[in-house]
Amino acid sequence: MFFVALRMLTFDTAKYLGLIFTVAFSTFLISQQASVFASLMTRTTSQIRDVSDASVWIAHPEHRYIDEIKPLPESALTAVRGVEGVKWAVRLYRGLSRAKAPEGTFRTCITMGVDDSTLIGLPHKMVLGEPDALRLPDAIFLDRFGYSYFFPGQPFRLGAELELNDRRARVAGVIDSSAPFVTFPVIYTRYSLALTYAGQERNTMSLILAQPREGFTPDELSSRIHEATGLTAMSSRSFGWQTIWFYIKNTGIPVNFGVVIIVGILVGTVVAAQTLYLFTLDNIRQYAALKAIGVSNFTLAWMVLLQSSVVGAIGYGFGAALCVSFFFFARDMPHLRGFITHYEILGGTALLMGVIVVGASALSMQRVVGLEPATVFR
Amino acid sequence: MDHPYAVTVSAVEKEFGSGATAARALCGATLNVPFGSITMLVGPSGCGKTTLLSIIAGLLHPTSGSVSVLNRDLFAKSDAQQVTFRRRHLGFIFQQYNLLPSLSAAENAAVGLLAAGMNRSDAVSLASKTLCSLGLESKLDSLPRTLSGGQQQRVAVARALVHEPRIVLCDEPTAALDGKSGRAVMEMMSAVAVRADRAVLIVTHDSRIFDFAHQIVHMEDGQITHIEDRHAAAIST
Repeated sequence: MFFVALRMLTFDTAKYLGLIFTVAFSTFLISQQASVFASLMTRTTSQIRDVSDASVWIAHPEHRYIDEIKPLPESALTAVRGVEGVKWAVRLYRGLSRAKAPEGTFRTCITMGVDDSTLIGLPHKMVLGEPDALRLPDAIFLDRFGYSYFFPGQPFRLGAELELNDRRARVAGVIDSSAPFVTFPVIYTRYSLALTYAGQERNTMSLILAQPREGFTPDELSSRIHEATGLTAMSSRSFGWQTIWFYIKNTGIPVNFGVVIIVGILVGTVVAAQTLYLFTLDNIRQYAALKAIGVSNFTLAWMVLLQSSVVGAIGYGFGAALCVSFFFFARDMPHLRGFITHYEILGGTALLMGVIVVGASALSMQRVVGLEPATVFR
Repeated sequence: MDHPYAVTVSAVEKEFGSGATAARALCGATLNVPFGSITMLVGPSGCGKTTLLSIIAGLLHPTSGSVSVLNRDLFAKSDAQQVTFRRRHLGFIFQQYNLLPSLSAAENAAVGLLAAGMNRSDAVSLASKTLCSLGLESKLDSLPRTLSGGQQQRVAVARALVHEPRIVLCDEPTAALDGKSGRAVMEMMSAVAVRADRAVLIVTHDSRIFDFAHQIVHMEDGQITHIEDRHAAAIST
């Protein structure tokens, strides 16, 4: 009888496509909005994720998240290096500076100053140039989207110049850094040079990066550093989550996105479930005839479940493909970089659509199983 | 055959609803449907004909009384047994045909066989033979919407007969047809469905087909008023 169920489903092409569109639209709405939210939150941790050499971050006890750092005194570095379990510890500068292109275009940039001798803290993904080029005088690495902003339409070229705090900066490399929360260009340079690009303060060291010796986990080392120095220390992962939670608690982003996602889920659930249920109601006389002829409730229930499952699977496939396509085609747009399809979200959406399909099937089955076959005579 | 009746209905009552809103559709209906005959239930709208047909089909439970179909108490069976019994021994023809619009004529005629678990190609092949015997050999692959009313009803007849049921139950089978098509359908029914071990029970308003009946059961206000034996004198109840 399953081929009968499939024929019933696909016979009216407009209705069939309508069912698929409904599920596809719901899938797209839920997965796209949830992925945008997750991507936005992930972008807040871009500088943390780009540092792959160190697993422990040390900051002033009064810091709140990576974008609100209180500089540390130089003595803090010595104190951290003295803690048992620390393999090495280096300075990291993070600040904002204003850069100006030769044509006069200027923009605020995120400036990262990495350790002068080891260059620890530098992202590993280079689009153009070599990491050691950062040791050259006035050398900076610019992220590729920043380069496109300052030098629009020009191919990547080493030696291009910017002006930072009335000082010359020469592009010695182009890096592929993660997209930051705000779409500022990202500049990497040596720690000592970064200080000259920034306005002078008494304390200049934003953060300390450290790596545990063998036998110590990042969390263990973080506890030791905190106990020994009073500074806040945490693993890269914890630091990332601290930043994400800051944005969640202190901005309207999660509330607004949460509302959109919840509305998407509710609308998607109601519309998809209702459409599937109405499809069964449209065919109720056919089910009554089948029931009168001698098709069992069990078979009818499977027919309904098969119809819903086929619609659910195809609709989900289209919706998920649309979501993936959206992020694929948006990947090179500067303001949307870093926005990706989160496969965990697609998995969750699949689960949700499965629940919707089963729920709608259950409603429809209840209607079909409880159907009085004698209605076929009326 | 030990038992002369395909269907025996004894003092069947049927009430819909309860309390002040209760409506009595059947009041002590008693009826025998002999094998080898066409029995017609006739009477004005709302007299209980279709309710009685539904009870005989096992689609409605009587409030009281007993119904024996093929010498079996239908309502002593479980729901699943009733479904199997219906599928195996009963054939249905509905007023509005109730063909599945998405299936071809042959597939529609095969639905009962598919429900019984026969594989698709065998079921469609057997149904095609039945349709050919009803003169629809050129319409096997046609969808119901492309068939005339008479052709659709012939597909419905094929669906009702393809599994060789012992009893065929029809609800106004000629109501939607013109006189010529109606007679053609009835001639077909008489030729195919009426055998020594089979019976046909028809609910109808259509006086044009009364001459096909061996027995006419007149109903009014939920009661059987009299039974007319077309081969003998009327039997008063």
